[in-house]
Amino acid sequence: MNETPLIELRDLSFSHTGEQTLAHISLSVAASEFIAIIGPSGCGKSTLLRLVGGLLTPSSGEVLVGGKPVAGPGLDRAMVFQDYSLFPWSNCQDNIVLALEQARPDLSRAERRQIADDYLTMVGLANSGRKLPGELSGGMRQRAAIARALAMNSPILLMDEPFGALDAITRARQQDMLLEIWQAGGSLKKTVLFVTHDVDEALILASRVIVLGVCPGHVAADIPVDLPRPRSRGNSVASREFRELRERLLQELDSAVARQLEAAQENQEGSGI
Amino acid sequence: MTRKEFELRQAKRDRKIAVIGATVVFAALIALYAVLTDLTHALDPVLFPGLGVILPEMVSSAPELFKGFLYSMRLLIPSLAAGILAGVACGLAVGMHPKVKLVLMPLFRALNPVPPTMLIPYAIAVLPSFWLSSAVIIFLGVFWPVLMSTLHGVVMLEPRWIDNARCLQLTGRKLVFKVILPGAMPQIFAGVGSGLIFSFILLTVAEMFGAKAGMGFYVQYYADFAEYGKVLGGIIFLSAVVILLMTIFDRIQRRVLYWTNKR
Repeated sequence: MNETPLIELRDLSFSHTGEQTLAHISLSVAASEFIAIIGPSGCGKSTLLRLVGGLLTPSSGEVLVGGKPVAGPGLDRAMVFQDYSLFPWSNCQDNIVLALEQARPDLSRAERRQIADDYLTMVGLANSGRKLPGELSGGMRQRAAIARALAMNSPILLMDEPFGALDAITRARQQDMLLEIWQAGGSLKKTVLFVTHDVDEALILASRVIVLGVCPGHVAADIPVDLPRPRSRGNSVASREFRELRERLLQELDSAVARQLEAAQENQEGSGI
Repeated sequence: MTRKEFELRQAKRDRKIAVIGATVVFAALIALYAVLTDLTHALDPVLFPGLGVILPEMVSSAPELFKGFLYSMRLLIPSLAAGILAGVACGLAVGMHPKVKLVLMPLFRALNPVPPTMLIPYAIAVLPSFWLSSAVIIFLGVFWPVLMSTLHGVVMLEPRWIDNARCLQLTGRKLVFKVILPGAMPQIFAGVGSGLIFSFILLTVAEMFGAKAGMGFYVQYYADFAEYGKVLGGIIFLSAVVILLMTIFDRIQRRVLYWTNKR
């Protein structure tokens, strides 16, 4: 990586109500990388994403996007949350149009509607634009949220366990869809930070997996995923490399959880005296 | 049968039960009244004239009742609208500025429970006309519940909506009209509902004691002449108007808050 990274975290720490969630995290992300952030619950992976998204402010260190420090949320970073990226009171199309009014004010009203429809069609929701988010299934809702994030045309996509609340089959289909869309981006691929707690999901999607350790959250491992592209679930999961990477990731996570338990025990003993 | 069809059928059936049930109950009450008056003369015939008296009175004074209705609406609608608008506007403005809210909240808590009827003597003394003083009293009766519920609605906004709005960099008018107002709408409607009921009470109180026309005036005027057929006719007419207005309110509410039962 000789060019300047698109996203850079410099010695990032975050504390909330006196408790340190993240400590000394440094990380560089090049343009068009697909990074999966994985770790046991409580490791601060969502916090890390919210820091990059500008929804939280670091206690020390800084987040740079395109070389500039992040001061707050920005339209260059589209976020997809677990189950609430859309406003429940407007229909899917209006939700996307609202995002477009912000992200692409140069467009006409008709163009915005058209783009909203195009992206809804792209995620297989051509006939659901007039429906309220609450009238859709969880999987369809996430598709609409992804359509919104893509329509905004932000170079960076921040996804916080977007498929975490879905059942296994729906989740697999959403992963395939995301993979297909992202790979179709060619040389203009979006840079993605994808938080998950699912090892398979991380390996199927990402070009690099960051394992976060706990107490406080830190980068425990940084593992490149060199599985051939274009990928699909089928050809990835079956390969030997996939299984090896899976083993390695699971080990990393295991030891992170083991350390978490040890720390918890120490804490208990400490407070017991 | 899809889920939607099933829900539709269910809703249709429920509506049918409601309509038939309510009709039966109403009919039974009217029949009971007829039995107590026209048939058995169990009630005082002066204070409780029979249906044979009330209904012809209502028909013959229909133009008078209608005029009273228009007069009342000329007082109610502007005061109500002003109270709702001011309540929502102040609620949003104060609710969105935590520091201002911190300062004003004790004042609101102190003033909110003061019954607007207590202010009637002052309103009459200070303001030049009956219309204006009644309008101010009704305005206050609507303003307080709407203000408090709007404040509550802003507090109750889900943090994720705010996150979402921040990610989209929504500010100013767009933040208010696309996120905060719709998000607070369920609470606002609760406040408007109680304000509405309060406004009917205040309207009739004002009209019974100071007006020269209106539905409350009609009832009070004929009570003074002991024409209780007209009094009861007026009360029935007034109730019908209140029911009509509440139905319109429910319709609007169901439409605006459609999304809340689709979550």
